Amino acid sequence: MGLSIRNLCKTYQDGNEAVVDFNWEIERGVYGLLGPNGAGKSTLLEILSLNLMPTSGTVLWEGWDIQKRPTAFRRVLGYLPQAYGFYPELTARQMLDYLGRLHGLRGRRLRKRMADVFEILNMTEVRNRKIKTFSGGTRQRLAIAQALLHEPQLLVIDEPTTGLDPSERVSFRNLLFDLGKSCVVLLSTHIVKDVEFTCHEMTLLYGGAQRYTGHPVSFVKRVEGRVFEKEVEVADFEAYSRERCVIAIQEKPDGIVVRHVVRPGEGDSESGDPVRANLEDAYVDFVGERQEEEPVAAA
Amino acid sequence: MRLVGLAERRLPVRWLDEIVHFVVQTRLLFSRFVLLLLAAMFALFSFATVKEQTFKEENAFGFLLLQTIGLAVILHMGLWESEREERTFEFLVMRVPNVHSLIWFKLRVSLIWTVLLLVPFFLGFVWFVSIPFGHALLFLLFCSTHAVFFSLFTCIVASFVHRALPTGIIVVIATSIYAGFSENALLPYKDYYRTFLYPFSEAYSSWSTFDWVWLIVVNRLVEVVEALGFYAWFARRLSKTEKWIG
Repeated sequence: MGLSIRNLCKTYQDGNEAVVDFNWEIERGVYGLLGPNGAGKSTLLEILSLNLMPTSGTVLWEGWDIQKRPTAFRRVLGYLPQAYGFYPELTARQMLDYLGRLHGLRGRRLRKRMADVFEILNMTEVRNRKIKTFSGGTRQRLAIAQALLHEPQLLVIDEPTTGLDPSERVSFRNLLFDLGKSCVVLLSTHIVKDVEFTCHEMTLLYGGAQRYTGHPVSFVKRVEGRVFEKEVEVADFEAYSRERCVIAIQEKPDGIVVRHVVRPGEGDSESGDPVRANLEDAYVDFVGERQEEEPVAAA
Repeated sequence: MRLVGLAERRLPVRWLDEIVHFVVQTRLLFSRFVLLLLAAMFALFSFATVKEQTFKEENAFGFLLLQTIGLAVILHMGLWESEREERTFEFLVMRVPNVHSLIWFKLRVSLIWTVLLLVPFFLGFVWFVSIPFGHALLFLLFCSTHAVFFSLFTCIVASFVHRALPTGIIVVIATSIYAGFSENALLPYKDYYRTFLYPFSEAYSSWSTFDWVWLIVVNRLVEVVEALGFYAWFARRLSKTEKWIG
């Protein structure tokens, strides 16, 4: 069970190179696709879900070309697009029943799978309500449910935790972790914590190009020893943050705690207290560096 | 649920899937706006028939064509709206084998409804004309080629325009311009390819004449070929999904 992406390129008609020579070999587990908005993540996922044709390159599932056997590939693929919609007049149960039938599920198996995914996603109570009455988070859970309904071997999900509240986000991460034991999960997001807590391998896209592929922990090493926290006066905060790569701020009664990354070799007593680096520190530092070096790509 | 369970035991699986599909797509097809337009159309023709007596035998043929076109446009102008505006397209395209299946998937329900809603108009037509019922049925069959032609034409316009109402307005304007040109321009052999008011009414009085049969059949074949052209164009636009997804 594995997906192999080889020399994949996608150039739109307006000349925008959305994906440039992308290569990735992934097997069972949860894989993260990280990058800022416009990095090419959604384009890559649209290609993987057969909604877009690549300009060049191939995608192989278990050794066969997905473009040549689209029907067989769709049977093993569960896809949650970034932008999607449901028929607002239907209930969640009617919508899943309809989508399940389109996928070839029927009878007891369909009813069992529907009950299972409603249970997993905590939707049993709302299953008979019309979709137009759902909040953003509930719609998102229904979208996840439709992707899981036919027990896919490859799950491609684009920004899945958008709209979920913190507890739903945590339970969804746990769900992804469990799914990763039995299938290939490809998670695209710009929420770094989702990747940090669920993925055992990630790739970082920037300007359509692959900038890093490996374990998230290895990526964090690039900023190890360079992350500091310093408490500054409110009046000094603006001047202080202008000169530094600020990752996070936290307001305190007597000032502001600034978490920031310094350039290699620039850490000193002025920087504050060294703290343990995480993926978000490494990611923000990386994107900041790229934006300085490649302002065109950042634009 | 009990009813579904019972149906699942009694009906072949494929039939049940078709029924579910028909019910779901029917609910999508008849928005409040579409129902309003259909009601207005029925009211207009009833008024014209009863009060103004415009629905006379010499007009009946043209009216049935107009009613067919009206139904096809009203029922198809919003057919892809939810797929584009609500973006259900991406879920559907993941579950049907190819573009042709996707078109058939949507069109089969709307075409069935076009034919079903044409029945009352057809009964009115039969009431007013003095041709044999078999000939009237044949005329209905020929009219149904109009339904396919204008359904596909409306789908193509919908692939450029997001919303149902602008789609309907554009189709009506384009159809009016085309009708005005094709019916009034002095074109050679026009009866063989004219879309509107093709000469069935003249033909039925001398139906046994081979020339009339030949002319009507060729005329309808030309429209079927044109409809196939629209289908190919629409399928091509659908297959380039980036144009839909944006």
